[in-house]
Amino acid sequence: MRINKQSLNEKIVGLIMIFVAVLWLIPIYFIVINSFKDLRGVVIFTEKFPDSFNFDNFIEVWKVSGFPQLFMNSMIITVVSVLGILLFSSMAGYKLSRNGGKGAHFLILYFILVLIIPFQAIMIPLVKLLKDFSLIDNRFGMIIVYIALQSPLAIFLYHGAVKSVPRELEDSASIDGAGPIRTFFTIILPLLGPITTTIIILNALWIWNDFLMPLILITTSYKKTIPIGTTALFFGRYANKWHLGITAIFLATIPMITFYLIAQKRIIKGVTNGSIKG
Amino acid sequence: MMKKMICTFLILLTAGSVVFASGQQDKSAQTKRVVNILYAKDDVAEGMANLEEAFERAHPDIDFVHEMLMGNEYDTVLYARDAAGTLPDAFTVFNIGEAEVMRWAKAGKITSVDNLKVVKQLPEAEKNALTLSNGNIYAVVNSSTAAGIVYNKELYKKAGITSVPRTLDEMTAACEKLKAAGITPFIAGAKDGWTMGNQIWKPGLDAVFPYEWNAKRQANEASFHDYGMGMFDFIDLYIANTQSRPLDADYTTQMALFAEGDGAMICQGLWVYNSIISMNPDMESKMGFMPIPFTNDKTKNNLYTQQELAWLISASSDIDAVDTFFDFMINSPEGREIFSRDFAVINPYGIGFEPNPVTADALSYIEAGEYMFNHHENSFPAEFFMVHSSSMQEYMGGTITKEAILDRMDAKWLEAMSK
Amino acid sequence: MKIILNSKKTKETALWLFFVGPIFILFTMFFFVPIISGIVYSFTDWDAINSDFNFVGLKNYIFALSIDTDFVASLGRTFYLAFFNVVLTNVLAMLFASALVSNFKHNNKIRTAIFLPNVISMVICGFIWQVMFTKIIGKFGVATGLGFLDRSWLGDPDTVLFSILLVSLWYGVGYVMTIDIAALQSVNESLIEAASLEGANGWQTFWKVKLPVILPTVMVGVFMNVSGSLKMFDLVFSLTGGGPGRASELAMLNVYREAYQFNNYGLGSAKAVILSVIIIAITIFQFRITAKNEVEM
Repeated sequence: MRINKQSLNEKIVGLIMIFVAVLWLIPIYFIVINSFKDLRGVVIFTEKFPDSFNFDNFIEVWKVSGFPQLFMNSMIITVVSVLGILLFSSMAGYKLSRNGGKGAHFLILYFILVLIIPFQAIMIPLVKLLKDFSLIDNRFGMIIVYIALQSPLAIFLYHGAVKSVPRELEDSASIDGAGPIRTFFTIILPLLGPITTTIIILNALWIWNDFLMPLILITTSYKKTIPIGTTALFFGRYANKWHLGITAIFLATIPMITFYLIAQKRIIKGVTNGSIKG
Repeated sequence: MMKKMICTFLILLTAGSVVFASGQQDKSAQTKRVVNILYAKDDVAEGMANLEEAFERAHPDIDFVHEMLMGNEYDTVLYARDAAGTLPDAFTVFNIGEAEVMRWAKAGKITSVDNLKVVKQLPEAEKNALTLSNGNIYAVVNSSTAAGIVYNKELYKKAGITSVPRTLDEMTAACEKLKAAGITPFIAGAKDGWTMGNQIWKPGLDAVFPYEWNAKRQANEASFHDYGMGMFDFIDLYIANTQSRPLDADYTTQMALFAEGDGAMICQGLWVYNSIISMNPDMESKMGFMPIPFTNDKTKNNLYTQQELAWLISASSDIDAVDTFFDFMINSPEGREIFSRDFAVINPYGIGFEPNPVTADALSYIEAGEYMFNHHENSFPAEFFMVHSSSMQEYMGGTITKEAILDRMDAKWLEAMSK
Repeated sequence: MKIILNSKKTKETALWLFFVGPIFILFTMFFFVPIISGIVYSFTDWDAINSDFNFVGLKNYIFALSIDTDFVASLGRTFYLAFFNVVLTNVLAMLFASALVSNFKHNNKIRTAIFLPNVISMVICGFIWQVMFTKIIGKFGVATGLGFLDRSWLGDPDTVLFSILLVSLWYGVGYVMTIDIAALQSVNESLIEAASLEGANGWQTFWKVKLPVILPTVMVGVFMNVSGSLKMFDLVFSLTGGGPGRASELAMLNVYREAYQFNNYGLGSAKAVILSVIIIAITIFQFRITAKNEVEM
């Protein structure tokens, strides 16, 4: 009897949540249908389902923005930055977690500053600094900045995750004669898979979508990333070319949605594992 | 271990290739002279692309790089470029009044352009208008534009309005006739505050406040209250006659609704023409243009004109190359052809072009001498564009009174001076 | 003995340098150093382009806090919005998470749908919702007879903050929910069984058994939510531009305008420092409370 009642409750809750999910998807639906309309259609008949599936907007966005080159740049910058973040933050997170104490505590707080200070406040000084290092208008320079600014959150997450790895593993490795560096890369790092997935996903989403950094750091058009190569072209100080803008949004999001759906099963596990110990 | 090695290898490889690629590009650019320009006006982008091709063919030793950036962050990008030491050789700014231009000049970032060929050939009056208080000219102006009311001739006819309303009373009567015919007089785009701050308040200042008031205001001997109330006659008329929920409509929606024939007038400028006919080609023959009638004195209700595409030239630019470029644009046969076809703007160089109906109306006012240069707002503190826009939105929403707006402007002025 | 100790110390230092050194150097160089210059600028009258500027002491700070009523108002607005955003995001996320830890077969798809906004950037969210508020919701209200939906969501100073809150929830709940689901799944089943044997109902089980266990995790989400809400910028910038009037001008938008559009970089920096100090204070306060609760447990 009790079990039945519980499963009935579960079904009612489930139905409510389906309703919530549909509610959540409504804006996405309107992006998709409006990307097939012309400007007049988007502005005047926003809510209507398109008469026909017209791909003109896609073709124009593709041509005007030079999409393949933008895609390559976004890809290179995102992949290399994420790899760098993973490498540096896993090492730092491990050390800070294993050799706790005042110093480590202080360092964590120091790194957390990045979550507190608004980026707009450091923008101009950062640009001046990068100029001194000749890293302006340079994709490598962007990658370095992403690693510097995005690693702290990853360190925070790794710091928590390492706690769940038993210390005995390192002790036995050290008895076998492995040095601490080798131990970390061969024994500890492979055990941090779930949190690594989380960090990959969160950072990839963030870097892929980032607007401000490439806008101020990249000047040459063939080095631009998707967000500035598309949104900045269609959403203006004055007019908004809504039809192209919405299509650009759709186009720019497709790779990330694909990426997310592929990683979807792991993300739930990942966000889970990471934050729990954070 | 294997995994890590592969990872490191990949990082090095990609990083290396990125560095290599960017380094390579820099080298090839160094051997050529360069003119790079940055601007925010997307309707000349195509013309710029055509200019690039023609110019580089005529001057193979100079690389012409043009970049259009429409976004809200234009100023931020400009500052970032400057901080990075990559200020473009020529760039536009949103306000080319004395205050803003002198700021760049005093910082040593821009150079005077008195000696550029295209500046030398300007008519004296034009030169005088551009000369700043230190006796120099800093902007290479390519075109002027006008702001006023774009109206729908067909709807005017339908409502039985036979002549263009040139005074406030005539405009009031026209609005009544339109409403009687079931037509919304004005379409507003008030969600974008500038559609009122720039397109109504700014022209209003120049129509209502005497020229000399500005110097007194600068010396703190005058107040916005002196003449300010005179602007609200038209503003009240406008607000009383817009579509419902004007604060929900952005600029694009404003143009779209006007293109649909949902209203008879918009307070905008020459720049809306192409966008409107792209949304509704039938509008081509229906649009006309007139100055905003702020007062009942027709001589005060002149057409509001302002410089557009005014280039500041970076102090670190190759000024000879910049000179060559603008000379090519204005004086070479190919340049003139592109300018007249793709830019099609009112210009001080006598380059003829086929005006569209809206521009033609504006030109008729200019030829009749019924126009004014924008003056007052150019010397205001930088934040006044925000004060204008936000005040207009609040006034439309009914959360502030006229008196309070004028009080606020006086207060903001003092505040800005004390920053 | 001494030599061995020394070499051990050297080795330890070398390990620290190897593990933490690289990111410490990068972070200090590209984040901390710019902060310091930002703080220096906050004591000057720099306008963002001139190479000359003067030190003006505390003038910018005094101006921001005592004369600039717009900035103070924007701070007030920011706290107001951040408070509701943090509370509602976390409550909704916890409700959804509790509903979605069950074995209902579509749960995975529902989670994906609610997380999906995170795939898009905040700037773009602003543009999407501009369309939703001005062109969709009203017409939906008319069509369904829900007249209260048909209003000026972004044009009315009384509703504009609420509209921003809605979008912020749409964007943020999915992320926190994912964290909460993880936390709930980590609660030991035997604890819950024991509680239900003692006759506790679902509500009591949640408060007395589950919440204490998951609190540390939940607090991580809260911390990120608090600092994110107080720094909120992208969304307002693209959704309302601070309007109508200044009714939705949040603190960061005010800072941004001051520094980049009104040509007062020094004053803008001072405002940014003030905002940062406030966020740091709130964060410390929050960590204290969390730490206390954890000890009590």
